Amino acid sequence: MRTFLIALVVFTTLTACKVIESKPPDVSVSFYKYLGSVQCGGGGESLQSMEQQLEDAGISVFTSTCGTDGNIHAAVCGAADGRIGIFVIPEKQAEAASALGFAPLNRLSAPTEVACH
Amino acid sequence: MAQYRISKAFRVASSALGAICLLGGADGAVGAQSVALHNGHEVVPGEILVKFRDPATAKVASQEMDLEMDADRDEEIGDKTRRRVHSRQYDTATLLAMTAKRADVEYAEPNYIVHTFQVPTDPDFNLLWGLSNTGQAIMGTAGVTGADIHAIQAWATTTGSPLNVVAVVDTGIDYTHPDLSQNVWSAPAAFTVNIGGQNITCAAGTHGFNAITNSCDPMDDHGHGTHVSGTIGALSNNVGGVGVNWTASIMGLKFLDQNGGGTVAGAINAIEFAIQVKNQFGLNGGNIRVLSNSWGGGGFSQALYDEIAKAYANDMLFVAAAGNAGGNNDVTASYPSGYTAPNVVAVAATDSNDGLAWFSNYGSATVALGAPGVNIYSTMSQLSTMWPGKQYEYLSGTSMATPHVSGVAALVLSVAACGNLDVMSLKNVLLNNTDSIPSLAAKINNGRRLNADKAVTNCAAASPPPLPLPVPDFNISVSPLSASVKRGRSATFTVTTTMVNGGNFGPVTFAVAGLPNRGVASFTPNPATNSTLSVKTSSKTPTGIYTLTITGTSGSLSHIATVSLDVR
Repeated sequence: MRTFLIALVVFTTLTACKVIESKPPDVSVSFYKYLGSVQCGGGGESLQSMEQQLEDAGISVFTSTCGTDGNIHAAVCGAADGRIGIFVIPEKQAEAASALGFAPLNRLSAPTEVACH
Repeated sequence: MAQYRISKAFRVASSALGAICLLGGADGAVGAQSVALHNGHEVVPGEILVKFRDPATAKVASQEMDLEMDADRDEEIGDKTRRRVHSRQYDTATLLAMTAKRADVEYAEPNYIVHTFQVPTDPDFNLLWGLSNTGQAIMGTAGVTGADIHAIQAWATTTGSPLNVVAVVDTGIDYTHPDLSQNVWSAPAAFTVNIGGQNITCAAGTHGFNAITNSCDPMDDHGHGTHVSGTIGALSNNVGGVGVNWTASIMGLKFLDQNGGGTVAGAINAIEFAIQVKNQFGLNGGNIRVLSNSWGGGGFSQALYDEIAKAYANDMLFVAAAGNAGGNNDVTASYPSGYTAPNVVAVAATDSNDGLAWFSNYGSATVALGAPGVNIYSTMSQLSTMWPGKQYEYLSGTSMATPHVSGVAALVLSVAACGNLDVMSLKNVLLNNTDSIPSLAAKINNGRRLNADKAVTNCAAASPPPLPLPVPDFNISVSPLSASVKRGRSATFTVTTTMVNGGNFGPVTFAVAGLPNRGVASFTPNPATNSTLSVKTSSKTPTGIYTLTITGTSGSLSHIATVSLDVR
């Protein structure tokens, strides 16, 4: 019985640790990067590719989504369409993300989440 | 070429004169070379064509009619069975009314002014499938004959006018471009605007505004705005291509930077500049009626909506690109074309086969019409960082469809009978005079594709009803307006009538009311056009101030004037 209780306590503790580990820490930040797609032609990098780029650099990605930068663009084919990838990462890894060309989302005035193509 | 230039110059002058006639509310004779309007059509002022029923008596009848019409010209035309009659004083409507009363006239009609189709001689005109699609291959793609905005047919009615201004809210305009410079707006005088609390003074000759630097120089360092401008109004000058308007006034409002990006705040400031310029100059060189917006992005902005609504209040049409994401704007709004302000016209792009462009946003509820937007050839800024070294370029996008609509809006306003259309009437003209394209039916409101010819031909029907024909009338005045007289004495007043609207109203019979007790009045002469009123009082006339009402009557016309008589 004592052995069972010890095992239960250890299991519960480990499980709790796992849950805590998988939640975004309080000090997470949102970073973005332009997908590089253009009006009429699409193209550019995929969200998954960008996420892989971050993870390859050892940066944890809690969530990722597509978005637009909220800026105004000339409505001509070939011009930037303003689509971005948005990633929630630990704040302590912000510098590393910046080194990869990602930027804090709060630098954009009115970014909006949109469905990925 | 010389003949073409003369023809063009005459047409421009004619349009301008016609517009002036309209603005002045006149329909009368204004000279041998001028144009008047009759039921919205250009006619020779004071002139009609008449056919008498009996050729044998036509000559005598015409002499009698000439006297009635005060004709200074009456000549046989064609096979001599019809006559061309010109009056010194009566307008077309009056002349037709006179003939309608005559039993010996078989028919009479205005001497309409007609024009030939005009095809520009600019060497690259054949590249402009959106204006004239003959099935020519553009960038390797053959088109369908007639899948265009019918510009050539429209140019038989008008080729534009500088009286109304189109403001291009964009990356600026290369106002030195040889195919644009003469159609770029120039401020008629120095002026000051207040943008965001900052006073900005611009010199005479300014071509627009730069909302990025808050300066009066809208030079285009990107190229997009210059391309848009060329579609609206590149000159017909044997150079490059031509715009929807051969003659235009285009203002550059730069708020997109050299990368083609900008902010809502910049757009608001650019529009505000246009509104303030219009309020300062109006018809004296700043009558901005159309805002052309080939841009999009961002979410709903109440601030921008408010500015667009302000433009509406200032009688400006807001033409906007539907967007290039291939999406349904009915589901996901694209701004600014998605704003619900009444003056907004959302424009999708069509291709040279009259199909919806593969990239174009659409929306049967939210996108008003389609216009050519694929492989559109137009002017390019010589300072472009995006397309360096190009004077002309092919571009695609709803950006390119938008200026076709803005251009036709300006073309409509250049029609003399349509120059005073308010913004909603102008919008209705554009949307109610389109071609219904089956392939667009499910994507665009009513499957509409822009048709310039229908718009300029039918716009007069959307004009406010013409002012009623002036009725010959008279005014009555009395001098002095007051007189003082001792009891037992007489006071005299001079009564004068004047003709109104050139009418011969005949003698006027005068009467007076409000006389004091024991007062006697007489008019000498009476009836007459001018008379003297004498009011004689007696020693027993009560003292006091009396208001005398003098009535003049001629047939069914009657007017009054009042004077004051002080009996002491």
